[in-house]
Amino acid sequence: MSYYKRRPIPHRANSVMNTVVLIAMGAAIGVAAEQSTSAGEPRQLTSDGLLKPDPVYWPGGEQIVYTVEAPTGRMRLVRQNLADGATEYVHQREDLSDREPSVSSDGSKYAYNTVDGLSSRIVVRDVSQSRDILVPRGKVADWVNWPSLSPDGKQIVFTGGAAYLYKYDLVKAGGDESLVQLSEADAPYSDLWPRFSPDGERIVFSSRRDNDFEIYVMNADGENQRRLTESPGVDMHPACSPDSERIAFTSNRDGNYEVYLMQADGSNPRRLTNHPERDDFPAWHPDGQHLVIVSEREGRFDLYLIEVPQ
Amino acid sequence: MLEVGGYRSQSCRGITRRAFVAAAAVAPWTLRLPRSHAAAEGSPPARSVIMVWLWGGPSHLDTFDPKPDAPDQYRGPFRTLATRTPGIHFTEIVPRLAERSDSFAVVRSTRLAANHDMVPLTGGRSGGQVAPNFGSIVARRRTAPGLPAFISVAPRTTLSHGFKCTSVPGFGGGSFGAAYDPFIVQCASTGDTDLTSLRLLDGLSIDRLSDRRQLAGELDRLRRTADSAPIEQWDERVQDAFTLLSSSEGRAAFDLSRERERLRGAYGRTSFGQSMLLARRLVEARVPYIQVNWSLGVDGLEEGSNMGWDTHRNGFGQLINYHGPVFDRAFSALLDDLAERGLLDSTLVVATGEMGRTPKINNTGGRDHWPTCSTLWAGAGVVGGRIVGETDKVGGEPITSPITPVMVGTTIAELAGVSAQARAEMRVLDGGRVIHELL
Repeated sequence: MSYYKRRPIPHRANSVMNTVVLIAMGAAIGVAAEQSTSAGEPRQLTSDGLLKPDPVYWPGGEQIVYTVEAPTGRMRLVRQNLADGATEYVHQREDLSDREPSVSSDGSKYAYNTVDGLSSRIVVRDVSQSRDILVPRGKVADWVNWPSLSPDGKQIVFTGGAAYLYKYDLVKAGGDESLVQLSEADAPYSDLWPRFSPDGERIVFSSRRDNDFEIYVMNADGENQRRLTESPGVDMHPACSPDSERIAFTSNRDGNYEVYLMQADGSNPRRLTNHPERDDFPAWHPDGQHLVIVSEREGRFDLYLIEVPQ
Repeated sequence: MLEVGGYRSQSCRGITRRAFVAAAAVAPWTLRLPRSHAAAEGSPPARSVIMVWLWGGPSHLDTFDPKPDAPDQYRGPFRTLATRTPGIHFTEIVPRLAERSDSFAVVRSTRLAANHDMVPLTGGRSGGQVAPNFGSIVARRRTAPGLPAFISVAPRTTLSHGFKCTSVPGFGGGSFGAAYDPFIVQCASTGDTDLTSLRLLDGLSIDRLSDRRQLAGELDRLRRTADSAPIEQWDERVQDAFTLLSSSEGRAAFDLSRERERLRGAYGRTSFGQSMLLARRLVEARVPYIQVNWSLGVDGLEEGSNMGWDTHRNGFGQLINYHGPVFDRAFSALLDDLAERGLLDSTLVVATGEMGRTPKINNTGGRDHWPTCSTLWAGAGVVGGRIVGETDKVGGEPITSPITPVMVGTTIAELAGVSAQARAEMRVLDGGRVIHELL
């Protein structure tokens, strides 16, 4: 039985979100069901309450894909149509754990992390050619996480092995020869959650190279690595806006995990959400005016659409 | 929703009813129920015990024994939080528990296993044999009205490469025999429970279990259609199970749909969260010993293992994204729920892995195996807010007298009403002492 077999999601605003700072739900974003949302209220997109990290909008903004802890205990990718709330598993195999989706700007390729026995690996699905590209692990060994496809789908960056960032050239696809380590060799730190900027020029990520986790940026070739945040606690899960001008991220600098926004150079950081429970995993809508976040509300993990102040 | 022998996933894989019955014959644990041979001894402090088994070995430095003044390569990336207990700090990945530190005690000087050994569940070996799980010891002396005395709740019971929780030494009855293995229940993130130990007939729902005439008919039908040898063995145990579950109280204990939605959410909509809620229901049903398994496997990567605590690689990312928030919420909810229902005073809650993690961060962004760890204790006379023991400046070795696995087991057994004499008669937990510092 497929738990996520076209289950309609009730469209209702959630009163418990009223404390979220923001948000005037203004212009419609091309999703019929969203037009009925009352102004000023975040829009609840899911209601099953299951753990669901790593949402990402699909190109066009009509679908969103996220990971969910399925009733089988495995992590699976779910695709949801925003117009009617219907959901379905992206992959039909129930015996694999897939997570951490990423997609190219035209939707012709998407990547994900799949568990392969006691190791994991990154798969790039070339939708147009109906084939899978297995990203080699090489020196990365048996553990990889958080793939992010470049907008043109020609490169992929991910965390692997000793928690370093790696980039793989999907055009050359020359095995280990096409695998480049972006993190400093033998550095005793963790570089996690990399994301390409939509213009393809930079990679944002989180690192504990300065002790606690902060947001960093590097050029797409790995050069010019620099820190963007400096705060107590954890800054993580960065995501660049469609125009590459802003970065949304999660931080617990104020004592609780909330979603923040800053300019691409790290300036003008400000908090977008404010709730006693956790707000996390920001993902940009292609219109650049909205974010989907995962909000924990009374133990339920659901997706909410919030407007981003311009 | 409660399913008994739902066969949902099994049917998808094409396993037939006949195949299952044959499988049951070679896996008798699936249907066995522990039999209590003696009545409870008096009125023990712990009417029930909940053992929260954090398989894989949580990092003590990144949770309940932070070392903020240690060098960079030891202390890790997490800030410390002041707790409700003056002078005591946890890390920021367990903020709810920091707010409830007066509800439970932490033993920071625990020395358990050096590897993935089940010794923290058994106390050690017993005369050269695998010692019985603490739950099996309790189940031998205690009874539950209409329910098994030792119930183990897990997100899954078998992984894709054939690993089964029951194949782990120390998971069950050990030297006592399979009759003292736990009654296994699977609990999904949705709260659906599956009585794995009671896989019966295709399509047999819990409601139909109440119709004993129908049950008899089902059994007769099965006898006619299945091989006779397995069914005879199966039938005896199934009859026991029917006796348990044909009572409305027995069925209700496993049915999480009877809980308020808000409370179910308070535990978290994860398999671990809902398993903890199920444990509380089983406490209400007066089950003497419940083991809640965080995962089936140790490894954070194993599919379906629900992310074990064996965080060699990328440990900090896993702790932030999954382990910290899921455990923090569920364990906090359990403590609150038990206290609000007046059950905490009569319920002993213990949370432990098989070990801790190395003080020094390895070169893959995680920590490796290390015997020193922190264990959490609550209820049944345990003094909340108490910190027992101390480790050195990098969290490596206890600088106070170490707490050993046999001391953990002795304390559990004693509070659960298994006296020193009874333990001696059973030849278990030899040489142990109660951790009186907790009480």
